[in-house]
Amino acid sequence: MDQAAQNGGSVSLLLDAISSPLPAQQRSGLSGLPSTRTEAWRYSPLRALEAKVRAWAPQSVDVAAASAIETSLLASTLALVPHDLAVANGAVWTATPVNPHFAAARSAFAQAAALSAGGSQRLDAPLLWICAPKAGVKLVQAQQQFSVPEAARALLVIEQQDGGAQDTLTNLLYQIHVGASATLDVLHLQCAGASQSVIERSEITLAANATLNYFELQCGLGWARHELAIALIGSGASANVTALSLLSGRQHSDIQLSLWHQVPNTRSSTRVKAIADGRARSVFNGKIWVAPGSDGTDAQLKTNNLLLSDTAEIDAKPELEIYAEEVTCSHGATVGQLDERALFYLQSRGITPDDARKMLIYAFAVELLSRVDTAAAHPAIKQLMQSRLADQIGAGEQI
Amino acid sequence: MLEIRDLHVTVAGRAILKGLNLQVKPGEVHAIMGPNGAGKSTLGYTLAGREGYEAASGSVQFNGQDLLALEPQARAAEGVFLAFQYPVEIPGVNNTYFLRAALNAQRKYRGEPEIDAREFLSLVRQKLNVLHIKDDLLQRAVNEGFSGGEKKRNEIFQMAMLEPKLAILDETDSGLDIDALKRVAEGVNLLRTPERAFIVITHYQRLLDYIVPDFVHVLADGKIVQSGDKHLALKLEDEGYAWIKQRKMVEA
Repeated sequence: MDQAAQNGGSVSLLLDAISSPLPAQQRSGLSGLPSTRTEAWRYSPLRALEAKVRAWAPQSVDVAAASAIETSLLASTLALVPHDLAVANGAVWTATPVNPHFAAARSAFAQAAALSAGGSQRLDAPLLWICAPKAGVKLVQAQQQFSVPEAARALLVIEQQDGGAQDTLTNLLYQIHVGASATLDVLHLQCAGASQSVIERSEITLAANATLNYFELQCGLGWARHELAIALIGSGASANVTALSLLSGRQHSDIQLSLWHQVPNTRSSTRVKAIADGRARSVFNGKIWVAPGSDGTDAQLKTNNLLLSDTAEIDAKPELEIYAEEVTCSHGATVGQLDERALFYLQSRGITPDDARKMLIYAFAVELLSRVDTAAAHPAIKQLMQSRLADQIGAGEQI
Repeated sequence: MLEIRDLHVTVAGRAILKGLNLQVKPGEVHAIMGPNGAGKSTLGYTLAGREGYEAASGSVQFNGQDLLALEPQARAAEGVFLAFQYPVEIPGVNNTYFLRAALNAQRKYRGEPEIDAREFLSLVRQKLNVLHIKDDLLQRAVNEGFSGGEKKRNEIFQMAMLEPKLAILDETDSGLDIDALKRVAEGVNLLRTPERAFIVITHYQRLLDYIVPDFVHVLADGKIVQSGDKHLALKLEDEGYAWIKQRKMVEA
């Protein structure tokens, strides 16, 4: 089979998956885990997780007891409350456990949010989904579906928080459709806690003239992998993807982005950054695929990474696969250390080397916030970055 | 204030400064001119303490202190300011935040109390007014996306805020058109005081039409080969640097 046909196949699989979710067992991927021989898993060995899965699979957890945190990390600025409020504001939620054998936290149900608000009405209550496994919870599996109606504007906040659980494996699937001319902002905060392992897959489709602004912050996690699959299936659709990983210790973060430009005249802009200290490892694989005939595609993919120690590792791979003629595409990757010239510049103004270093590390991270439209969330996200950088990397304190 | 004696500096294994002598008193403006590769920028970096620009021999006394023994941030706090030839862009660091951090770091070093936010802002407004700089500069990241002129004016603005005793301007005129050059020079002139000294490093004489120096020194092959008043700069403008080379050949 040639390359294009293969990719075509995986796109239709993706779309199938979005219209009719695969059975949970197939989704969970817990049996027959891929090995590092598979390119997409090369830098994220699953052996450790396999042991976790074997140990905990038979266990069942009381759903009610699993409920832990109901306060958003962004609560202070966005006035967010868990989904009950969204119901009150006209969104309809149904909850169905994906797999009856694997209990989930209350907020870790499979949920389908069919937003009933129509027209160009802004969905003023942001949708909030928190996954915060309580102490004792060893396995969380969940699947969500969100659909933004035509011409609507919605904000979806996804948070993994530390609910007190130790050594939990979380396996999540989000399926999101953004309707024609609709706009969806996603703020995804991955702060599960150092002993947590999280595997996530997001499948997002965008109809004609739809816009997606996706921001992901990975910090305070143990082992995390996020497969982010975005398909621009309507002309004029546009995706802005921004991701930042702040890693230290033995943290492992893996972001696998696939972005399909399926039809003519779509655009995407992707910026991914990682800061790795200690023995941390950051993996980013970003693939943009431009389908045959998708002329007028504009796709920009950039990853910039900061390596703060000799023992940290950053594996960054941006890829472009283009089967159309008239396109504007670019990709690039950098991995480097702090800029000596900038350090000296700050020092020459009186700032100590330690503070200069902190300032540059924080600046490297916070620069991405200019891509986050939800300005109300900026202070809380900044605070989160600052405290994580201060805790983990010794940077980020205000001087 | 500043006394440089027989300074030898090696950069990446190459001898750049080869026995430089210079004395600067408070309130004086010294221009250092010279051909490319003479060691002009090396002098600036050495005085500011850039890594890799260490003195192999010689001494630099600054207000009675051994300047070369101090870390770059300590030199800044003692009153040495280098206006960079190529100011560094620092995305993500807000100009105001940066300036306040720098000012407070220097105050802390000198055992002075931190400047509070209100006091700082009024100082900023005052300096912006004096220099005729628009305050949108404050909201931007340090030098990011600045034009050449804006970068150089931002250096002058930083100098105004930090109030150094000795300011070294490293080719502040490079890359500026005549209007931008005039504005930058005007800023510098406003900051001239009987206490503050300047070392103005430049390749061309034209900057010295606007910042009139008390002394002009010609730096060639790592040494000051001739010193004089502002008329020396005019001579260089007329005759170029070739005569220096000839003179040196005769000496050799």
